[in-house]
Amino acid sequence: MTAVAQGRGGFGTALVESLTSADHKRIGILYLVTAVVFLIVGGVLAMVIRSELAFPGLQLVDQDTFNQLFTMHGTGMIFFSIVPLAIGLANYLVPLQIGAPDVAFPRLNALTYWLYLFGGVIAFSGFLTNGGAAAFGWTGYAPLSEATYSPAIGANLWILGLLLSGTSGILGGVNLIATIFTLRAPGMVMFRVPIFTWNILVTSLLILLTFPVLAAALAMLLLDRLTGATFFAPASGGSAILWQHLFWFFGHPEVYIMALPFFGIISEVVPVFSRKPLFGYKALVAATILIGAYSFSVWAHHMFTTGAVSNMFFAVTSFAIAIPTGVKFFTWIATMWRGQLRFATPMLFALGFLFQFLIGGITGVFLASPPIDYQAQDTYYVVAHMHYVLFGGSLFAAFAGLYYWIPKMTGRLLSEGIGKLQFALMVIGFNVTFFPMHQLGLSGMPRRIADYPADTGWGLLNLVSTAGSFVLAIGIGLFVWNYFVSIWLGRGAPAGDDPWVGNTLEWATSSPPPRHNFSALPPIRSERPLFDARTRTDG
Amino acid sequence: MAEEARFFIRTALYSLGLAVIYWFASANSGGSAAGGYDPIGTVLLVGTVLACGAFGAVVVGLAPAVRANPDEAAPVAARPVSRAWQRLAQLIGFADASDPHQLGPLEDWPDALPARSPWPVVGALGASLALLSLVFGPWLLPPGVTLVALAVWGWIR
Repeated sequence: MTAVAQGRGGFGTALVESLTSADHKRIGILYLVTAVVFLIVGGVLAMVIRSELAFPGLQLVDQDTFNQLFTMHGTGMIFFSIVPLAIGLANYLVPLQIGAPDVAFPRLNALTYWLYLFGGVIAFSGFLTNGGAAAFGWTGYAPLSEATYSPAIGANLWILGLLLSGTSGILGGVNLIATIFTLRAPGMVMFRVPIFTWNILVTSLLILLTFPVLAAALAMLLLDRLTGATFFAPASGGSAILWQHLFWFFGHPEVYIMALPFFGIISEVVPVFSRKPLFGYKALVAATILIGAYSFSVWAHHMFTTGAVSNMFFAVTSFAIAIPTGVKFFTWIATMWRGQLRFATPMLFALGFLFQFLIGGITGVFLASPPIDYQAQDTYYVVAHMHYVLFGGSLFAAFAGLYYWIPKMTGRLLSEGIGKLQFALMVIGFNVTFFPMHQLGLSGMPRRIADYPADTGWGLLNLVSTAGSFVLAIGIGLFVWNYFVSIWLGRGAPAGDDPWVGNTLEWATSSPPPRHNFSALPPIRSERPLFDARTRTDG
Repeated sequence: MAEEARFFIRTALYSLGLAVIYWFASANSGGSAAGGYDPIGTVLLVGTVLACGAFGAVVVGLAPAVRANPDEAAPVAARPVSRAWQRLAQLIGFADASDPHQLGPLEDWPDALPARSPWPVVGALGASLALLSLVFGPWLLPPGVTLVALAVWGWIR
């Protein structure tokens, strides 16, 4: 995208401009490109994992390598792909949606990107060391992550990479909050802020309040490993449960950090492709705030089986979080109700999100019940649930957002034909890959195993799941191909300023926007100023 | 009070209520404190209260000075305290001294937008090298610290 945004100025020029740019749009695009690269890397690791599990007794990689693969797959997807996809879109869109010329602290914004990039490279560089990458799962549970059990240098690199990217997240959160609070255009009171930006605001608050907890936990773990401290070493008086508390106090809000921005995308896409105003704007804002608030009260539902937390408290709060999420679903459905639906690629991905995230949400409600969680803990049922939320939910919404806003970023439309084929392959591939995992989990297959006996009966469903993952990979490959053909080679149709007949301010400027974003702004009387302007003109 | 300040203060009050409820709900949960209360989760929630309270206090203090949206609330009377906050906000670079009512067309803003800068990438590289010295040895510390110092100098110059 960077080279395209450069026009055809040459690789050297593009590189220098990318290295030194403080423009929120270029930095947003850098985030998006890097996040897609990490998505592909994480996807390749997943393909090896699925290939390893295709047949019982198959040993493509040894068990330690398998541990490294699933650790770095989870780390790459969660810390270096899904969250940065949201941050990239936020970087690009928030100033445009609120009518600002840039973010509040443009150079700080550039610093956050470089910290994120270097953090990712450092975390993955463990693969190049003698002992390999970190191999204790993306949750880094102590005491397994202590030097006694994970002496490889790759574990230290994992910690440093996460520390750097966490610092990047904190600085980015400050920047986005300051931008939304101080740079809104005249007329844009808080309850006229577009819903995507509202979701980014709450997400940024979650980042601001939880990433420091992760940073503290990682620093303590590093001290344990490097200096012989004993924060998390039970044998020396430390507490492994303390790590779980600290990690999940960050980790469950992190789930909503990976969900809320994508809810925001759906809330932008659905009304535009239903040709109706968003139903229940204030209810959606309230639901967003409630989800953010509840996310601080559910962290220990990941710890039901430790026996060290109040299962009743965390079960009740975990059930409760389904309520504001349900409000969101009903507002999206009500927005589509009696609308003039257009099934363009962004809308298809949004519908895919609705269907798949619903399944992920419902299985999550089951897991919030301690008796069921005791049975399903650490089984493939949890893997299925997590992927329905984060892949079927967040990543499908991310593709909806990319198909929706790439025309704004580049001035060209992606191919609808390839996009629809990608959607079809991804829906089929995703569900064939992950739906059987529910049954595998209920049949007792534990997660994070490199092999299983043939007499367990898990072979067929694993083979189906592996086959689905290859279809899924082809689908994602089509996105790269679509981008290459439509944008890089310039074969996509010119987008114009407002190809989708959008509602929010980013569609009031050129595609791509100029450095200062806007030459003039329309009057802002609601959260959908362009819709208002069209209505007035039509009326 | 501005919506921005209410945003943080509501979050702080919510977290305070949650911390109190959690302390009592965690009784007999296997925590280490007397009665099985869980001090770890409670401390984390109280930390959230303090963090949000601090953010809210900053926003309450600086809101009159940083407000870019003149339609949202009436200007605060220029009492001595407000003027002091405004001067403080401008001093630390948190506020634009210009009146948002008098902003010209947005084409004029490029002059106010920051130029390209190599210092963010230099600073991030330096910080990365300095941190890597913890793993690969102190020989990485001098180049890392030098780059960070160079970036700070270049940034504020």
